[in-house]
Amino acid sequence: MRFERPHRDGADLWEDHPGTCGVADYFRIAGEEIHEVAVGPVHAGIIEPGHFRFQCHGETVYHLEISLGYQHRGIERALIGGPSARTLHFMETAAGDTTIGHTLAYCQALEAARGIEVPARGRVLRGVALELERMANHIGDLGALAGDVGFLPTQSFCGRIRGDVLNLTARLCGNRFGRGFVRPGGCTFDSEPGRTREIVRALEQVVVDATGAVNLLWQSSSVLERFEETGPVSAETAARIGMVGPAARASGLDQDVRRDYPAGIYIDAPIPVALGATGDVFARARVRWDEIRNSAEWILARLAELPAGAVCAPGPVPSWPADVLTVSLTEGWRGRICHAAVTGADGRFAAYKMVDPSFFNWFGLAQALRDQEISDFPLCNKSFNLSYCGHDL
Amino acid sequence: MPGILQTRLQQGFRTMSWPDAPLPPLPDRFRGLPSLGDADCPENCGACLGACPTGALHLEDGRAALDTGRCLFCGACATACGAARITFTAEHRLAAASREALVVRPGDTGLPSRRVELARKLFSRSLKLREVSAGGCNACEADTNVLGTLAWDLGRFGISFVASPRHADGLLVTGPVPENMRLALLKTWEAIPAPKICIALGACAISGGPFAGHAEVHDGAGGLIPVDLFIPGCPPHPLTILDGLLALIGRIE
Repeated sequence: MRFERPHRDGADLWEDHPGTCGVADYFRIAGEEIHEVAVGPVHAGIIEPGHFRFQCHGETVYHLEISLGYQHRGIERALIGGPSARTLHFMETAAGDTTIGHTLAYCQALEAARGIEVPARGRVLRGVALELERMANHIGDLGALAGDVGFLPTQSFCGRIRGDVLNLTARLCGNRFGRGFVRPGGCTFDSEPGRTREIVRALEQVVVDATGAVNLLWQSSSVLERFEETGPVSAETAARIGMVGPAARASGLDQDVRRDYPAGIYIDAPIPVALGATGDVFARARVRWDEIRNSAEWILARLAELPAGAVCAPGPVPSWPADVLTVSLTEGWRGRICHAAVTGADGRFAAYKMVDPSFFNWFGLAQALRDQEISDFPLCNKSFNLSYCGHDL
Repeated sequence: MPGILQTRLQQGFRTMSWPDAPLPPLPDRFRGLPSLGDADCPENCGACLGACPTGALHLEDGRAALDTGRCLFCGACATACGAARITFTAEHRLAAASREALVVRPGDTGLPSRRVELARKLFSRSLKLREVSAGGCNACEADTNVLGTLAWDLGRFGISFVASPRHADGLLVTGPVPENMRLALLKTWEAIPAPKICIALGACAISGGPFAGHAEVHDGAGGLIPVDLFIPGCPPHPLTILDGLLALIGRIE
């Protein structure tokens, strides 16, 4: 995997190759019967860009190299000297499908640095939004996995159900991706009793619909035949390359930020950790389904006993203290999100580093493809469904 | 098989009837087309200008005007405005055929023109689009993808997204167009046979969005490719996107 070309002069790790994105010395296998397949950066669907090189012998992929950097928008560079009016929007768009996850990581970092306590009601609503984000993406991906093995009923149903979950987030804050919901100190919107009842009712229907749609996967031998033993990543490999999130848990790594480093509502209300064993597409799909059910159950339990009070700590937007280093962890739907902020003597960011779970898991995808067929790539890819922009920043 | 049929019955028929029937409900907190009160701004105020993360607001004759092409619809300006002159309405129709028409001024009523004669003439019954995400954060992409689901069923309007630019009538761009994607975007555009159209979707593709002015990006597609239709939002609601596409082909006004 390569990184974007440098935007300033000086030595860099890849100095010996020209600075055009995607132009690199790829790992290659030599031989008369070896062929190389290059895909991207523009892919066939409505998805983000990235470049893939497959080293194939016949149908077998010996190696996949992933070359990213096309999505580089200069977020971390622009954060330096902040915070500014754009800072929260960088968090919300770092990986747009993880708006709540990244914004929460930022806000928790600031709250920790300032010692701000988010009111109980705000903590719960943040958790609800984070779990809704997880549900929406997992449901969408299970549908897409069904599509990649040509099983259209679940694909069709899940595509719609995903939208229903996004609409619940929009019911909370007006935006389907949770833009503008999480802010330092708490949330921007409350959920009145009527709204909460509506969300609960709609979520219960989502659970019924999703259960019907997803259970078809486990009942169809043709689907299971394609899911099982496809794209396996062993626990050892997963641990060595530092995989995170549902993909790591599917390989049997028992890790989840919500349990291991709980913050906010997860301190008071733990959520079960879903684990797999086989590390294949089946395990990744199954872990996601378990997480969908855990999240739904957790949200319903939280909304049933929504604490009274404010959703946001009083006072103006807090500023960053001077000369601090803060590290913040959140379990986004793809896995562990880590933000690290360093402020200078003026309370401005001297450095800001954000690590999307995709940063680690792209290597996992490359490993999953070894000894697979090239036709398994869409299936493996979707079982990870990693962020390009979250990696390139 | 019986399980599939049973589930199919349980899921029901879910394709929306719009545009033949009334609009599906939008969330009550939805932030659509901004509206600027007709009253004068207090002198030397400019509170909204300072609050806006993307410089979407500017003063015209001492009164604020808002460029929806830059707007992230975050509502910071409405909160900052002491005189409550800025409100975000439930109007989902945001698309416009010209960049200038995206600017909302005090007392504006009615919608900007979305007429693209070429599209109406050639693509009214069949429009094949190639989408290129150039720095898109996957929100615009996701809510474009959603139009393909059975709830929206984009195919019933003769619009579909195709894999090859050779099969396409036009390009739909999302994202602020990073320098690292410039070549791929231009090659895709060149590979689409003329006559062709280009749609810029979302604040990033129109103006660079939150990344406007970054050395790493080109502040949207407009500087590289002639854009025929602008669909603002961050991201635009699927209804906003569908409205823009249907207006483009003349299916609705």
